[in-house]
Amino acid sequence: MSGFDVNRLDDAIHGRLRLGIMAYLADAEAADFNELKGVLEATQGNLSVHLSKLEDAGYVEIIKGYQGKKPLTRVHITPAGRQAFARYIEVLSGLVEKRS
Amino acid sequence: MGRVFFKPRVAEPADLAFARSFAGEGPRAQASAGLVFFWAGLLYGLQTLVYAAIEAGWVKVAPPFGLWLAIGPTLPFLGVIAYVAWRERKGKGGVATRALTASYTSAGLLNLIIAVTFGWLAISRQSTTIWLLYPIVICAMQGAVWYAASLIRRKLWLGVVSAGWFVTTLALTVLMTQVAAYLFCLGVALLALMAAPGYAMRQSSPREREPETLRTEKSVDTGSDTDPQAAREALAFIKALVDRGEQVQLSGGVLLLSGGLLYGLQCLLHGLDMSGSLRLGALGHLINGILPTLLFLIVVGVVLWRDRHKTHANAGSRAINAAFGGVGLANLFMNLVFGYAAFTQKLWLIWMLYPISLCALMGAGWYVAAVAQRKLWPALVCAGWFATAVLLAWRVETPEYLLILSGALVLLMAVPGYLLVRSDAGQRA
Repeated sequence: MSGFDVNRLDDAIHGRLRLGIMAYLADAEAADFNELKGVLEATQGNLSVHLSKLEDAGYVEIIKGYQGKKPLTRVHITPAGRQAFARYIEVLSGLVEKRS
Repeated sequence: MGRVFFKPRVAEPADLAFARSFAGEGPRAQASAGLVFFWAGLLYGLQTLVYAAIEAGWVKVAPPFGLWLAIGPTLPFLGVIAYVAWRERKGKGGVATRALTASYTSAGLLNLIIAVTFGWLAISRQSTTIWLLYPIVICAMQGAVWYAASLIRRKLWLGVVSAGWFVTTLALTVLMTQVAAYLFCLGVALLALMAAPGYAMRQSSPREREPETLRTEKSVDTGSDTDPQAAREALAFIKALVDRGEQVQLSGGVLLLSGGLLYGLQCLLHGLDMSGSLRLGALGHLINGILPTLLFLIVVGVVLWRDRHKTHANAGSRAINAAFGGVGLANLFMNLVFGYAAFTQKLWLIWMLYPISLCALMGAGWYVAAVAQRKLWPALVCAGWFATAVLLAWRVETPEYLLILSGALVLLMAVPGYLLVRSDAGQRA
């Protein structure tokens, strides 16, 4: 990618649910699947799809395990994800400042 | 032009400022805490090891150097604190980051309260034992802080550090009569469990803070345009998601309510007996000593069973409940420490220091709640607990001591517990 266009936003994050996931994880660092589902008011299927997109981009790491006998999916933000989120916010802020 | 997929709320300048600061606040706060821990652990760890060497007779220090050794580490450390405070003056974290930073800060506040109260009592009673208990309380508090951090950040190594501090708490309690070994153990703990983790935190955070590197390292598709209105709404959405203190809920209202009432009544009866207003007698003392704990343990058992599958709704709630969990854990260790020390030293005054530590611990817990929730009433409860700790130190070994403690348990534990129970019931309805 040559030249960085401040008006163009990272597609991997650009979407209400994916932005919500990234924002929440930027603060919490890690969250359970059900916790994300609750705070973002998302359905299970929808959240799974968007988490997979973020995982493919390398922005989150999904760890599946068990808590007792119940399956537990935990999502962690990666350093690359944190950087991408910071840059996304930078672009978004620049856009608001430049055009307002 | 981009789609508007956010709730139609127009962002204010505050949203913009928050979002800009928020994105890098987690690593920045971690780096700052790491810096403070590193220098505190290094300076005070080395100081303690020198004191251990002096106590063991390996080193002799002439009087002017003794003064420099005593105050030497504090001067540069105050410089570090001032630098971090200046650097963090505009930091705006989300609720979880705020709670974690507050947990670290609360350890500093507790240190101040315990240093003042135990220091004053040690000087006024000419007691080295009281002064030796001060680092033990701080070790338990460090255990509580790292325990909370491990639950908030969900990292195992933070839990290992916490366990290390609790082990140190017990080791120092056993070593109180062998001062050189006690100081050596404390010095090593400060280096291994404060300086080393602080260094690790500091080293790991910059790697997460350099957005410039990603642009060349990883090519990502940045294809979407958006309009300023959608961008404003996105910023407002982010702030609403991570900054709302009112979403943060503290559990355990029933425990606070029952604990405050039971132990408040227990202290009141003991206080009235000490002041001569009431005669409990031997059987009365026995019942008053055991029954509240028995009843409280039943309540704890019922609540733990009832909430065994309960999970916290958001990271902020998890954070402040983790902080109070740490307080509970530290309280358990304090109970053992002061009980053991009072029994082995045959000194009732030592047991009277336990409620002072408990009050300071409760103040630290409510400080985290106040910062995370951004509400006035937890801040007032926090101030109340810290003030009670100082008052108790002032009135120790007098009948007023137990009456003050009784009042604090009802006003600062049972009443907030009742408010939390009501708030919980209101949300369920």
